Amino acid sequence: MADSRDQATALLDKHGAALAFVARQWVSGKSDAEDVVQEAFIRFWRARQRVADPVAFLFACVRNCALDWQRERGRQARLAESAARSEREPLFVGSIEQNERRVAIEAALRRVPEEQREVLVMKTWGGLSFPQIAEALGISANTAASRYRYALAKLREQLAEESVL
Amino acid sequence: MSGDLDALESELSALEPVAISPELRRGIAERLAEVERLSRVGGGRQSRWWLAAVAGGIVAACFALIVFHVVDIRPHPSLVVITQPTPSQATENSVNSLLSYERAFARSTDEFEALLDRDAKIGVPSNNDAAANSVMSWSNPKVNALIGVE
Repeated sequence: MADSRDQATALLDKHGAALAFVARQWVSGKSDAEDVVQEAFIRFWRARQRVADPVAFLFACVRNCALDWQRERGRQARLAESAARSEREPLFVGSIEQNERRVAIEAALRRVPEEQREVLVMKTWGGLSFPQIAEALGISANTAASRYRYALAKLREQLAEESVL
Repeated sequence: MSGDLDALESELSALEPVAISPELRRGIAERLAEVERLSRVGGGRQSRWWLAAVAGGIVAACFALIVFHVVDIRPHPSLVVITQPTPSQATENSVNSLLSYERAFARSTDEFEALLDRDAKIGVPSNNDAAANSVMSWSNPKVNALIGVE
């Protein structure tokens, strides 16, 4: 029992922030994203001994729960809410000196296509390998790598446009 | 281009996503405790089912043993041993009966004498009186009666 709690705590320490970040790709606010993470973590916990890669499975659970949440709330309501909240609730923590750049990256990230962005988030902040991302998303590792490269290119393009403006 | 991508990747990696709240940790801990409690209860139920199944199996096995035992103690059908005569016994038993002597005598005296000679050569064990009496020879009263000699 204590071992189980330790395992859960260790997983949350290591992946909690990234999991909430993944959830926020589909869920508007931090609070809702954490509700999604909680539900996903319980789903993961019940099935964790039957999966080959628990970390990949955990991220897959968060993604699936977030998509379920999105379907339940309705796309229009989600978009309106997301636009209102996103300005108030930052995705990243950072110093005031970095604030302008952080805001620019957050804005650029929102404009990256969803399927590319989820790969970028899992790779960069979740620390997953391409095979793990492939397992979590049900795609091939090559596709995951391609989407990652496209996401970086798109992000770079967006940031370049912003700096020109 | 590759250098630009690497720089961007490094910049992105340096950004730290917002940490999860203590409420989320607490909520997960409470839900996990509930899951563990339910799994223990479920596990207890499961073990009770196992015990019931094992006990049922043992009872069924005992019942089967009793049934087969009852069937097995029925009286066995009596054995009938049929022994075939060995070749030597067959030779001994081949001493002819009075009827065969009568038939031989009716056919011809030569055949009758040949039959007597053959039986005399075979002989009979000394401790077998019944068999000795049944052996035909010229001194046997039955033979004498057969050929009309007093």
